[in-house]
Order: sequence, then C-alpha cells, then structure tokens
Amino acid sequence: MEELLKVKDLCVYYPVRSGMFKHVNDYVYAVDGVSFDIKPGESYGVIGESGSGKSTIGQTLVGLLEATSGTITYAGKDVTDKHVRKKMQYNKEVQMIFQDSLSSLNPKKKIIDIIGEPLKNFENLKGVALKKRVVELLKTVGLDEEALYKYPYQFSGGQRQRIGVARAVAPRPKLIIADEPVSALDLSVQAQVLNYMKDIQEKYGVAYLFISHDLGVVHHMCDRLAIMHKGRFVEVGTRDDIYEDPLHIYTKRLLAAIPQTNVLLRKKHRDERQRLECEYDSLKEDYYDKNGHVYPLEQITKTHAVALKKE
Amino acid sequence: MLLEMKNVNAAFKVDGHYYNALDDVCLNVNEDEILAIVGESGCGKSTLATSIIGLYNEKQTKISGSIKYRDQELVGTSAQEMDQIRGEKIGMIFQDPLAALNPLMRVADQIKESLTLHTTLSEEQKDLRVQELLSQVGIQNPKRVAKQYPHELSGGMRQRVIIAIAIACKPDLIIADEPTTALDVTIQAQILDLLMKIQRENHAGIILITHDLGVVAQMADRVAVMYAGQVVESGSVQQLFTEPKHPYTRSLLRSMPQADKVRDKLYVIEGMVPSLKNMEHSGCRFSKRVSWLSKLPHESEPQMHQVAEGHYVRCVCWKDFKFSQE
Repeated sequence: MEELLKVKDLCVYYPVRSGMFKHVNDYVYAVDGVSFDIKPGESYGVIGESGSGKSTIGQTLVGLLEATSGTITYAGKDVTDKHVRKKMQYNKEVQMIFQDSLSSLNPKKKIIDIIGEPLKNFENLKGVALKKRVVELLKTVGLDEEALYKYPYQFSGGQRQRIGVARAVAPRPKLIIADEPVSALDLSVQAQVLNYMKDIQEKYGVAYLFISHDLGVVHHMCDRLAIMHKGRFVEVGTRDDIYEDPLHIYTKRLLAAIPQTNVLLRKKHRDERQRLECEYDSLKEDYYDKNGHVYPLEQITKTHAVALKKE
Repeated sequence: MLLEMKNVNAAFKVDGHYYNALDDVCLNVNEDEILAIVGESGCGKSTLATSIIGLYNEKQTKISGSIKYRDQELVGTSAQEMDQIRGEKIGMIFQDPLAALNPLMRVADQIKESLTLHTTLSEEQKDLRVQELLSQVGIQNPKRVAKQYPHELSGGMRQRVIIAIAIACKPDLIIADEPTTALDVTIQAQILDLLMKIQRENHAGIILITHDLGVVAQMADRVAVMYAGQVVESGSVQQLFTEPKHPYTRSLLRSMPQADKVRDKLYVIEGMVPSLKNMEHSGCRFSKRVSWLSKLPHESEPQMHQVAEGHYVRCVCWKDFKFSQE
C-alpha cells in the first residue's frame, strides 16, 4: 500500500541565542535525522522519555514548527514548504490532539464554536447544517447535545479530551497526530478515550501518529512503533519486534521499567530491571558513539531495525 | 502500630453546607510497611492524606473520628502541636515537585528549614546533614545541587529534593501522594527504588497514594481501594491482585492497558465518580454508577466483611458479580 505520509531525514534544531545581540552560538538537536512512514489507516507509535524530541516531530508535522532540513511527503507530494500545504488541503487532512485539553480549548468559546470552527473554515458549513454535524461528532465521542452551549471548564478532564478528539475528527482528516492524548487522565477515563479513538479509526479509516511515553498505551494502540532517544530512533519495528525481541539496550531498559501487575514475580522483575540499569551504564559505549549520539539504524529483518555499532 | 485511623470523616463546606468527602475510613499502618491507597480522582485519596497531616483549611473542613499516631490523637490537636509532628514524625512527599518547592530559595535552605525547626543542630552540622541527605536520595553532586534553585533541576532531581526534605528529620511515617505521576518510567523506577531503600533504612511506614496499579503491584505490602470517600476493599497486595473481590477493584484492574497482552477494547467503567455535592450517602455507592450492577443484591448500609485473613470487602454484591461480557 502506498504511504500516506513519508518523513525522510527530518532534522529540527532549536537555536541557542545569547549575548547582547542574541547571536546564535549553538543548537539544540531536538530531532536529528528521523525517517519513517505511515500507511493509510494504521497507527504508528513514537515512544520516548521527556526531552527525546518526540513532541517536536508532531509539532513539525502539523506546521507549528519548521523543519531545519529533511523532507515530508504527503500523498506523494512534498509538503515541507508550508505554502504547498495550503494548496493541497494538507492542513485540513492532518489534525492534532493535544496533551493538555484545558489549555488547548479556547476558554471563551462554546463547544459548538470550538468543534464548528474547522467545519466553518474548511467546509463552509453554517446554521442548522453546522449544528447537525457538531451533534453527530459529539455523539461519536459519547457526549450529548446538551454539551453544545457549554464552555470547556464545565467538563471533566476526560470529557474535555473527548471534545479535543471530536474537534480533530471534524474536518474528516486522514491523519491525526495525538501527542500524549491520555497521559493526564485517570485509568478508567483513559480507557474510554482510547476506545473512542479506536472506534473512530474503524469508522473513518484515519491513521494515527501516537506520541507517548506510556509503553502500555502504545502497545494497546499501535501496530508499528519507534523508540526515540536523544533526537534519533534507536529501534523501529512492529509491536512484536519491539516488545518480544528488543535488541537495543535503551529499549530493554525502558521495557523493564514498566511496572508490572504480576505481584508474585515482583522481586524477579525488580532484579531484572536493576541488572539492565547497570548494564545500560556499563555498555553505553557499545550502543552510543563517542559524542553520545545514537548510531544509524540497521535493518535486522524486514520490519525490525536497530541502531547498533557496526562490527 | 504506627498509625491507626478509626471512623474518620472529613466534610468540606460547599455553598454553606458540609458534604462528606471521607466516610468512616478505618485504616492502619504498621512500621516497615507500605500501604497503598488506590482509586480514581475524586475518591478521597488526597483528602485522606491532608486529614492525617493536618493540611486543610479549618474554616472549611470538619474532621471527626480518630487518627492516632502511635498514642497521640491527631484529630483536634492545635496548630502548634501539629507543627511539631509534621516534618519530624510524619513526612509528606507531594505530587508536583515544582509547585511544592519554593522557587526563590536554594535547595539547601529548603532542606534546612525543617532541620532548624525540629533539631538543635549547629549551622555546620546542618550543612553536613544536607549533603548527607542529598547523597542519600541519589544525587551525584550534592555540593553543587545544594546551591542550585529548583528551576535548574530536572523533574526527577526535584522529586529527589522533595524526598530529601520529607526524610530530613527521619520521620517514621511518610505519606507519598502520587510521587511519580509526573515522571518518566525509568525515573519512576529509580524514585520507587529510592523510597523502598529509605523505608528499609529508617524502618518507616509509607502511605503510598497512587492511581497506577502497576506501581502498587511493585511496591505495596497492603492495599486499600477507595471509591467515593469509602474504603471498598482492603487486603494484602497478593490478595488484591490475584483474588480481587469488589466490583470496583475488578473494574479498575480490567481497564488497565497492559504491555503483555493485546485486547481489542479496553474495559471502561461507565460514568464518573460523583462530585461531592451529588454523592449519595446511602447504599452501595459503586452500584449507582454502573446500571447493571444495581440489579444485584446489596446491603442497605454496606459494611466491611472479612473474606480471608486480613482481606476485607464492602457490601455483599461481589458474590454475584460478573462482568456483563463474561
């Protein structure tokens, strides 16, 4: 199947300015040569700790940040330049769900206006037709018509995040970038939002780029995923590749740090984690080059690639 | 016994009326023990913590019942007496380390505050103790960090400083309110290891408040599950995870996405925890949230029943409870 989105060697550097004239004297290499592709209707996960650059990828894709170098290809066309994006409806077809639902919804607007805004802009809907679509969208995320004339603060965190999902789905996008959509939510509410996101995927066939630090959530949602560290991918593969057969020490360490619910094995689990922690410290040179950078990815199998030192 | 809570009620004033946020909570913490308190937001977990340590607005809150620290009654003690207990005997670790630290004070001064209040150490001794504490919580370069301000530290480092402050006077009870919620998994693992190490070294009791069941399974000795201001199930960590009884406990466990198995749909607990004003104070509270549950036989005034050694469950509805899909 043809790729919906193809990212090649994407680099995003933040300039570090200092001195009286704010000269640029260094860069933060937030994203440093990342390549991946997303097929229509699939879920792709990017996992990393805070500061790994995962959110920067998402923000660059929706145009909140500009790429320093590299190319982004959408449906066969180069969309790295933002003027091209406008012409080919990229901005309509690629939407975003933010982490913090309260700060990403305008507090002075009613729900009908928040969800209706992309509809007004992209589909020229008005009046009754607009209201009908908004009610429909609210239904897909399990909210009532009552919600229409309320303000964001009148909802709970989980409901607000569902409104965020409805807003992202409104212009019928083909790709939704979800940046930590459930990390601020309670367990049961989290399950609810994830289920609605899955429903929407089945119903509309959207693809997700799922950015998260929660390996449990990504395991539940994504078919293919990438582990990110220091601005680069350290391991890329299918769900089974990564969870069953992790090869990079960083991935192993990350997987071992997930708290398991199996009480009987907890001693064993803790020992294993601490062993990997030590191994990570002692084997750093084998997995990172002398500047502390991640090595380029090497293809191991058809789907599985790992950043290992060349023999 | 380190801490004994009997029939604790906490009521908050909302629009001129008092509403109970905690209802008849009975819990014990022993020395050398980690008690985990689990539940969704709004279930009263944090209210429980603030009631113990006395961090509530007296004009808006009514606490009744009995909270005994060793032999000392904490309910109704004066603010001055509470100051003596807080920090010295009971330490608290907060969820958001940036909000809990004073942004205008250096790390060393913040740790020294409680040392000045509770000990008679000289200035030099205090400096030494600060270094000692910072290295105890795993900070590599205690001399430099002591002189830094909170904003110069990473999230994990800040949480370590908070822990250093909490254990400065070697309290034998530590209350940790969501200590790792804001942190990455690898840092979370380090902080949890650190808490266990401190607990072992100081023989302290820990009350660990969290909504992460994985953390509970890794850390706790005993667990209390709270719903709408009540403890609905309590028992040892093995009992709770291998033989959960109460419908709420089982629903929580079921709604968790797990890395070791794939399911098509996650289980969702319909509805939400009722807000303080809309909370009904009679009957089995969880059954009002899940409609098919309410058809089961319930007690009119649900009580805690012992089902095994040390394992207690509220109400009788668990006996006939099955998930609708099962």
